[in-house]
Amino acid sequence: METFVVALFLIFILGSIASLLLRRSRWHDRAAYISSLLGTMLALILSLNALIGGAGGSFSLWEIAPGLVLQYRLDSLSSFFLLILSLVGMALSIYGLGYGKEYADKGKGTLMGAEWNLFFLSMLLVLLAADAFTFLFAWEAMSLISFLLVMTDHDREPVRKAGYLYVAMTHLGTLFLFLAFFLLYKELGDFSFLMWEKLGPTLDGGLRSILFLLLLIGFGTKGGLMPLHIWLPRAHPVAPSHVSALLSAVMLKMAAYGMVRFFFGVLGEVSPWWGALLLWIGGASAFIGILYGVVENELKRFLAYSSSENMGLIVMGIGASLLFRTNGNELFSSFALMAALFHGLNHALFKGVLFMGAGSVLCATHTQNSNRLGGLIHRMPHTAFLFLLGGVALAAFPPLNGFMSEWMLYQSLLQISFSAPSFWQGGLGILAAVLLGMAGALAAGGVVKHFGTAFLAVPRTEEAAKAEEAPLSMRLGMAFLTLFLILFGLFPGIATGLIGRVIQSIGFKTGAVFPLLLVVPETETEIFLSPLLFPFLIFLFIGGAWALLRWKLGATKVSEGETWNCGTPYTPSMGYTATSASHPLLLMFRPFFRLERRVEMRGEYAYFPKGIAHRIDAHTLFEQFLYKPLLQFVLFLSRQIRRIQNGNLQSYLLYMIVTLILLLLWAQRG
Amino acid sequence: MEIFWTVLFSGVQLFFILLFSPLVQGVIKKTKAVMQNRVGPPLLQPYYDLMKYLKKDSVVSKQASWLTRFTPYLLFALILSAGLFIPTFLPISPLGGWGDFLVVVYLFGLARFFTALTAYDAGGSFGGMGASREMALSAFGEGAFLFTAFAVLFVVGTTQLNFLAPDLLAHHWGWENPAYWLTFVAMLIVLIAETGRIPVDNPDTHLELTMIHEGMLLEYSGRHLGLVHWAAMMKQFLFLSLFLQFFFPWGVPEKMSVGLLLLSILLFLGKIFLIGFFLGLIETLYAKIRLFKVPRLFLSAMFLAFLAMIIHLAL
Repeated sequence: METFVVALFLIFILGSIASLLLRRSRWHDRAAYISSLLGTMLALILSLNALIGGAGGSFSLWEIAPGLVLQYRLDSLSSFFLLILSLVGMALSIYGLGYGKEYADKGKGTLMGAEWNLFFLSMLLVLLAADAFTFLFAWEAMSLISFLLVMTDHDREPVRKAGYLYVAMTHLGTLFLFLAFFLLYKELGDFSFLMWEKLGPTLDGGLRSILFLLLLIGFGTKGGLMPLHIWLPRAHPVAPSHVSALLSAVMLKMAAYGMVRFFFGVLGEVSPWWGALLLWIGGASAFIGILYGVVENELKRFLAYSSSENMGLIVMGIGASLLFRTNGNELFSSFALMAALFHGLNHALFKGVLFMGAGSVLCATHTQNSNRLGGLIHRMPHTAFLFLLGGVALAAFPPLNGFMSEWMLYQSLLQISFSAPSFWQGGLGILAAVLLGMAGALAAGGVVKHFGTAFLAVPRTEEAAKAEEAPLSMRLGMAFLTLFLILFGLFPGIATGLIGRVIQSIGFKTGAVFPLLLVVPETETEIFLSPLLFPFLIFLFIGGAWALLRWKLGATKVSEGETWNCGTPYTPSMGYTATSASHPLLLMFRPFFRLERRVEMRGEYAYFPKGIAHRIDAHTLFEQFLYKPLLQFVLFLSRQIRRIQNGNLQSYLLYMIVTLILLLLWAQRG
Repeated sequence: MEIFWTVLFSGVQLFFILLFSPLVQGVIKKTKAVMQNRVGPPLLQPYYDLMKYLKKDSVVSKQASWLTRFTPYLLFALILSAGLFIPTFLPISPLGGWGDFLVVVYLFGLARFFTALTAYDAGGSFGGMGASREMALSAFGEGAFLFTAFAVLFVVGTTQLNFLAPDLLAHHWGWENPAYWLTFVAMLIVLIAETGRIPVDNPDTHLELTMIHEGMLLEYSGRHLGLVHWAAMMKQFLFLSLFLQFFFPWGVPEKMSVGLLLLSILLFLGKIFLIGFFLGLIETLYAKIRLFKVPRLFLSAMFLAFLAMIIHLAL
């Protein structure tokens, strides 16, 4: 395993160097993507080997200073996330071969190729880290390299703004991780995760609760949980599309990885309110996240908000698992955690497909605003079809994979109520499940809106009318991941079987999981689902209806006609736009958006105006009530502190002397 | 042998749904007509309409893609599949053990998803208008539907619809339970909204100001329209039978015999026509409310379901 990992490191490092060295040739971006493809294929073998063959292990590679060793470890949990990384990474590397061309032409391909490989390397390191020092090092590297990747188009103002916000927020999160790790080191006297896992559960309850909160904020910032999500809908859309896909599908999952690793491994016994808190935060993220997403007109912004939603769902699953753990219901605790991890995998897969689809649209039309698109299903039929499948999975409809994990989430949440030991838990589960349902309906609405306005109807602009189908490599990348959407939808047992091993390695006994039929036995209320049945029935009935009608009444005779428009000639501008599609939603959920409505009439008479300008501005709650005041406060504080920096050498000397005296006094006291 | 019975029972159920769903529609229309002092179309008019539609040619918009031709068949298939998971005249549903209430919700959801999606396909304004309204309302509607249904399923402690009726009866689910009344009213609101009736939606109009569901179907014609209409009627039928299972679970046979089976079929049809009559009554008595007031209706349904759940927990 050690040589394997070293080979992996080398591939990514060499890939990034090759991209830099070959900057004058046409091959620089191809080198980057081919090396990342090789690396992720190798990572897939490594993770499957560890998951199925149990060939994990640990080793140390580099001793920086005595007592400060970079230590690595591959166990089931990290290899499961490595599986996500490698599947999505392989698809994106294939996709990048086509998508990177545009950046190569702009002269940005060299650096991006290098950063692309290093980004993989840093995420690999996060997963392999076996002690706090290595983990934080990798975590910081991941944040910084992703920041550089987000800033690829730094010559545009919004990109720079988003990038700075991202780097500020991610450092805020890391600060909390530092605090948590420092506390753990101070209490346990060791950096290694192995020792923490052994000694962590012996810690005092109050301290563990503080650690829980610190870790939640730290990982929650990276995972884009409400209200720490504000960087996410800004950074994702401005990054190159395959980078957004990687950020959303894989990097956010690192937060889930951290939570599972520390909440289940290190913190040991659980207080009941932890699970409830996670349920609320997850539910709020899911519902509000997708609500803000649905009204967005840019494809990638919608997808980014939906990532915030899906992280919320994963956190709900983790919360449910913790709650069952306090109740002593181990079967459902493992089931809920399985649902969370399965949803993590599924989200990575379908969000990868959708971001790639958005990227292809962006490539073909140079806009991702659905208002300026339309009719792409005729121009880009393959991309449209794959995007539609991704959308169906995102909206969690059977028979694709999104439904399977969401069904498991529903069952875990409802079981909280059905087997509730206390009054407050009885309501909590059903409320959470209803939030899940509403988030699902909103997500479906978002997909309908974007697919309907961007891919269907008639092109509304010149760019959309001239769009051409994406190159083969980009379609292949999408199709590769789409296969898994179908595979895990029809045979969720493959995924849950693997996840079962992960969960057992954290110390759970899991219920039996069969490849065709998802079953959790041994409870008074057995829950069943037969995923293969749905496509069978649907195809049977479609075929049956078609054949019967044809046999009895003859083939359908179809003639073409003009779209009905009350008799007036048809023009493309009559198609419904994304803005108008979100209008009812904006008005119905008015309290969430702080709507500002302005209507300006031009002309002499109010009842016979020459022109009307109508404008609605929507603001999100968090920014107005949380971040704006906070920002103002920080700016105020900074201005006050700046006073001591007066540019006078003597006063600086005075500061030093005063500090020195204070320090001496303090030392004397001790 | 078990497979044989499952297939047979599934076949009977499908036949039942396909056959009787237009009749329920006819009962509602006739009730409305009589209430409004009209003669109204004959009770069997929905059947004549369907036959006429299915025989006719379709006109498809020049701007439309393959989705327009595919969606009617898909809708029909999705609603039929959902029908196999909902119990009708027997306590169990044909494929009850293989899928649960959530599957039904998501199959209906997928049908709505494709209806709304395809509404954009022809590129007209009416389709998009209907679709955006439908999807915006569905966020509330889904919440209210799940909330009320969970409040009922909470009584039996499972999402399996198999053996729902006997289980509910065994838990003293009936007139004397206050939670029963609260969820009943909540579910009635959901039922009216989901079947697209007044006061939420008007199924008999093509005015752009009022329509939601019809707006999405404007571009369909001929055989496609027939399939879509039939699917909508079946969905209404299934919702009604779910409603019956939730709130009028009595009368389903506990033992199998030909006599009991016939009795239960008659009883079921009686119940469902009564509910249809009741829906027609509501539709005559009320006017359609403004679109942006509908969420309040759903919120009140959710609130009632929430109260019911608290009562469950307190009792």
